[in-house]
Amino acid sequence: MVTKTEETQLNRLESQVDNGGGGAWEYLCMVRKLKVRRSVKVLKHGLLILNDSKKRSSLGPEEWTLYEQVAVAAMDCQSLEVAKDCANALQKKFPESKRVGRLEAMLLEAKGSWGEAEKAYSSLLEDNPFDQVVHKRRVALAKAQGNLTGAIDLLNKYLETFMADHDAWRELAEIYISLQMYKQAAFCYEELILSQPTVPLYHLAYADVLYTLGGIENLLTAKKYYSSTIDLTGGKNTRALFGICLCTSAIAQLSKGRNKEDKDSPDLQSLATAALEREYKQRASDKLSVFTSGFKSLKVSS
Amino acid sequence: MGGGGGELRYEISQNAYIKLVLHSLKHKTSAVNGVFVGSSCDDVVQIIDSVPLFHNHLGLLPPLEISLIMIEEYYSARGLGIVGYFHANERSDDVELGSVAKNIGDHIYRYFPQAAILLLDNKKLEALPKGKDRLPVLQLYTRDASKNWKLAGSDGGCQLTTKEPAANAVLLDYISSKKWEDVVDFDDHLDDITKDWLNPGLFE
Amino acid sequence: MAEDLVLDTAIRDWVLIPLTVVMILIGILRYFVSKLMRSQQNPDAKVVREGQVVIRARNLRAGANFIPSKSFRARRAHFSNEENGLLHVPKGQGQNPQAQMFSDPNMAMDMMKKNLSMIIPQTLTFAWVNFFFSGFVAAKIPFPLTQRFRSMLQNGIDLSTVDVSYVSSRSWYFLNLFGLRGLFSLILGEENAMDDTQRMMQMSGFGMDPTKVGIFKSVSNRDDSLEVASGLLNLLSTGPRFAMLAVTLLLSLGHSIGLLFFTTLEMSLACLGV
Repeated sequence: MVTKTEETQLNRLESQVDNGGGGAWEYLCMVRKLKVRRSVKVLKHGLLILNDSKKRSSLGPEEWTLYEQVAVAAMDCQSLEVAKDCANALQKKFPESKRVGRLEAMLLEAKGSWGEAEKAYSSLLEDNPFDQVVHKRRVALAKAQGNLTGAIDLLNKYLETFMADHDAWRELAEIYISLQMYKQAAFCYEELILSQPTVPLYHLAYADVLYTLGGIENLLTAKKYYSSTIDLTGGKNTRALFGICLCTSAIAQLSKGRNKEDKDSPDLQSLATAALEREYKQRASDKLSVFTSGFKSLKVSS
Repeated sequence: MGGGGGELRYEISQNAYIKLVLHSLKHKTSAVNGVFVGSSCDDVVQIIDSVPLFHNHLGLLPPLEISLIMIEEYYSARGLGIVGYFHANERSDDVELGSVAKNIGDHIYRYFPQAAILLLDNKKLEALPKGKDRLPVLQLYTRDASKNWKLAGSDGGCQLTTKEPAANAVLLDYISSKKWEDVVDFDDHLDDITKDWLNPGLFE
Repeated sequence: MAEDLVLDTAIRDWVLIPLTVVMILIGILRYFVSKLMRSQQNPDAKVVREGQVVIRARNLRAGANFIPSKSFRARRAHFSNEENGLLHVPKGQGQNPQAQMFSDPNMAMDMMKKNLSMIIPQTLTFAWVNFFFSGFVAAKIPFPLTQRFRSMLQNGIDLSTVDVSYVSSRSWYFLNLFGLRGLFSLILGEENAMDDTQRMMQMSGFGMDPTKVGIFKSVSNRDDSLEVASGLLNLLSTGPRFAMLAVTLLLSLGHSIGLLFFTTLEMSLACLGV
């Protein structure tokens, strides 16, 4: 998870590097640490360092980390020649390394020779069945071929052993959503909430999934999770505020004619609408009329 | 209803077209979607404008509902309605229309029976700089009588045209100037409501 | 009190400094030797999985309030039902670590290697110090200390009249043995400097690697506690593991705190059979 401060710091560093202000190495380190995907920039600035033998040797052993980073970035940008050169340099330095083997398998993957890449990964897994990165690469490989069910199978197998890996759970949830298997996705988000109960993002996504599932029970739960998202973000999350409005009106529609057991909901909704209205008034006044008329109609229907 | 044979034509304005293609370029690594706004007269659907929607979790309902409510609200005051759905797949070699896209298309169809789904054709997009293709780099799907979304145009006639003939040239120009970085979609708006999903400054 | 003892500069040049230098060199050498001997160990699938199960079960227990109760009950059943729950350990089958160690010769071998790389150089240097420098007063610390520190600082000198702030060469050896970790972490990088006291720990508790014991203990405990937890009941794990943790914690503090240092010193002496 990248926090807001880290992201602004990274962006500042990026613009500084882009404008020739130096700090390229720090930028690359930060990208690596935060595991963000900025391949174009990494490739550009990383290559500048690698092509300058003085700068390169001043890195010491970190030089090889940079080679690896640039290689991966190059694959992402489809600059396969660059990636190949980097991998070769690493291969020369560490002929026996598994990590370089992984890189070469990734190179095969980038070329699109799925079969060979799959073979390479399987042989890497034979040597070390606990290489999490290789497991994940295999999932990505299945995904790249459009084989989403295969990716799900692989992920499930992986999670059977590494069941505390929340990134894998998140990926699984996202695949399930794209396949519209919302029940399974909900399970994954429950798992994510368990492992990091204070991340509002998961509460929100869980609520979204429940809302999509529909049904009065799910909607009621969804509303709770929208509320907890609002709680965790200090009322700053626009999506959750909107979610409350949607949930309340959907619940009202479903339970029309039936007993009105939910006493607090109109309150909650008017609070959420008021908060949204205030937000729009302060920060995007040109959308205020659209919002009010749009969500007034929602209220009337409820 | 919707399957009015081959005579139903879609005419897309340059801005609506370019906005959504640029949006899909901004988020190259994920699936993106958007809606087309316009009106229909006789058997021509005029697509006047478009709104880029999401680049994350396309399969979730709440954000979609929020966006559709607000877009409806905004454009109905101007006499326009949602007439089509735009989708770009996650993988560039994926040319199939996914189930999520079909479902959203169904949803729009309920309110606008001549609705169409436009799928970004990555191959054509890649070939743009070389060729002199005048047609938009989109695949048109319409709903046929058996309620399936069917690729139109495979049976000859080009039902989808751009209003301005030079749209692709303009698009290329925008791509080379990295205009896509400025596109704001509804996801961005929900994260930070000061960002305007109408993208008023994009074509200036 | 007798007037200050004046230490010959030759002692500094030929005892104090060589001793320190030798200790540093041995520390570095040992690092490389242990690096050579460290076998590429593939963790056992069962152990990896169990570790992950424990983490997940702990998350479940801690976050039980964050998910709908239906989901919690489903998960609890998954973890701890009587037939095939992940955490369910049939009675009497809970392996005890000692038995496990004997059943796995590799583990004993690893332990041997680890300990050998430590014991051999330590015995040799200790013998060397004892042989050449026994009885030297090698240094003086610039502040006074109480009598309690005598056995710590003046090991090997049996004179009760010498001021406690004088350090004997053997004690200087021990001070170096335990106090150089900070320096090693500077030289060899943060993770590489294995704490001597931690090694001591491992040796004295031969086979009682706290993490490993922890897993088995906690698997069975987790099982019970989840059963009880049906909400948020926090069951503490049982005593031995906690005592172990406490000792490790205290030992890692031992560097900076002289009094604790005293206990570790005594312990190490006992270990070396001095």
